[in-house]
Amino acid sequence: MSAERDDLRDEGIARMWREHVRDEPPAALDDTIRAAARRAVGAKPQVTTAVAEAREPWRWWMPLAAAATIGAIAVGVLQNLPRDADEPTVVSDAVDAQRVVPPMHASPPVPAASAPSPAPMQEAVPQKKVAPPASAAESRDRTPLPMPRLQAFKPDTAAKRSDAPSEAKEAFVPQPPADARQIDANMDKLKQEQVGALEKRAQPADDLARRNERDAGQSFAASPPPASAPAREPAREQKDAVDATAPAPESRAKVRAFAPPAQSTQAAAGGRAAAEPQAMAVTPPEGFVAEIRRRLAAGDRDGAVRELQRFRRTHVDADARLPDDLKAFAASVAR
Amino acid sequence: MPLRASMARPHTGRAMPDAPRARPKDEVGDDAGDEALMLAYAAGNAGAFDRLYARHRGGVYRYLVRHVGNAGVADELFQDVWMNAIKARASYVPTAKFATWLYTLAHHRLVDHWRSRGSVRIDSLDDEGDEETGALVDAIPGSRVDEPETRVASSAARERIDAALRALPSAQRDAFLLHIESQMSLAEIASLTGVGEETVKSRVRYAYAKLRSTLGDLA
Repeated sequence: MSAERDDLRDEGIARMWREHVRDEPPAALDDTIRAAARRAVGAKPQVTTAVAEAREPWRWWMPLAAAATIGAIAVGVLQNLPRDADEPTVVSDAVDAQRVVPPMHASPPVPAASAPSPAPMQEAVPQKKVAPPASAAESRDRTPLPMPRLQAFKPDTAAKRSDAPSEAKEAFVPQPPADARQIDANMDKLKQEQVGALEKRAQPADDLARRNERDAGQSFAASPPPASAPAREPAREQKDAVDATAPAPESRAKVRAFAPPAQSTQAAAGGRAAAEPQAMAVTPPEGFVAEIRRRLAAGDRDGAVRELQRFRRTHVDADARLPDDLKAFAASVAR
Repeated sequence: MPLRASMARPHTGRAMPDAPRARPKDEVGDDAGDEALMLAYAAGNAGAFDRLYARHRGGVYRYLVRHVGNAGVADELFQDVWMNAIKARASYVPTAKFATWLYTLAHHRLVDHWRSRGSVRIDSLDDEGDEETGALVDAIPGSRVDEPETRVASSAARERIDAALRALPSAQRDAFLLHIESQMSLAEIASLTGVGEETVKSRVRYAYAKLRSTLGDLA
């Protein structure tokens, strides 16, 4: 048969055919057919090493990659948390205030004339240690007095809060009503405690005034000079405590931010209304009169005027309570 | 006589006496025959198929593209032929040479293609009287080598070869292509095409003679 085939074969035509007819299937078609053949018998395709490694289901670096991914996500989540979450809330402010106030309550009810300023308060208010009062007069005339709560609540924190993005502020607005009620309850509780403390401290102040009257039996002009300033520290403490009862500006702003507006305003106004009469009542009329006399005697008319004005602010009938020798002076000072 | 009706299937006959048995995977020698490679592939040796494919890819492709004259169509038919071979691997029995089996698949796919185009008189393909008329040549879509998507080379010799091949009757062209590309014997071609061996012999002889008369200066 092969010989018969060779008989038919024309070598010239066959050579011409081999030389000029060289059609080949495209390479893509070859790959397709070979791949299909391998798939049919379940053989793995012959691929390059890199591709084969990439197709392996598990590589040594995959756990590291997973750990790195989880770490990156954790860092991102922590950085995206609102910063206010790290700052004290209203409840924590109340706790801070309680933490600051109790040492004042724990101080002796009737401090001695040379009683030092309360150490716990200085710890809570480091700024006061940096700038001690230059003199008793300056410290007495300084208004407004530094407020413990204001300093306990750091100004930079308040500034940061005010500069915080609006969404961070708004994050507190939709708090559930239960939290708002708790905030109000804490505020009321704090106010009651502070008012109670002031009432307790008003008594020693009255006792001090009465003792001064009794001991001196005369005007404050004979009282010790500014060297006796420590004796007046309790009064300053009382003022501080009184001011502490009123929410500091930052604290009030914070209360407005956390609580419903009307409620916070009422709470702030109520707190101040309850605290201010108590604060003004700590200095009896006789104390104002004695101070005015002392300043006039010392030639400090401006100081006497300021004391008279404070007296008038404290007592509606201040002019009526003035002795006759000071009424002429009071008449010269406009109300 | 209908072409497909009398066409023998590749592995319906008796098994070849010296047919190689299937070897385990990866134990096919370099000098293994096509049948051994196909059996190895049927046993799961994908590498055997690669060798088998490398041996026959060009011949089968040229057989198809010379018939249809269109590279795109030839690609499609070529892929179908090999996919059919892959699917039939499990039922492959070496009753004949692998080349015969493979070209039978290609021939069947080609006839199916023509039939689907509805532009060929299948019952006249093996008509001896068509050898000189060449009437069927124009009816075969594969002869339209002037289609724009053709991927056939455009050299002058190639154009002359293509023209001479187109001038052959389809039966002669088919016999010539099977003879020169598949290295099949006349009996195998006769079995594949479903005609007598003498008919195949006559077709091949006529085809060579016409090509020599036309392309004598190239040969």
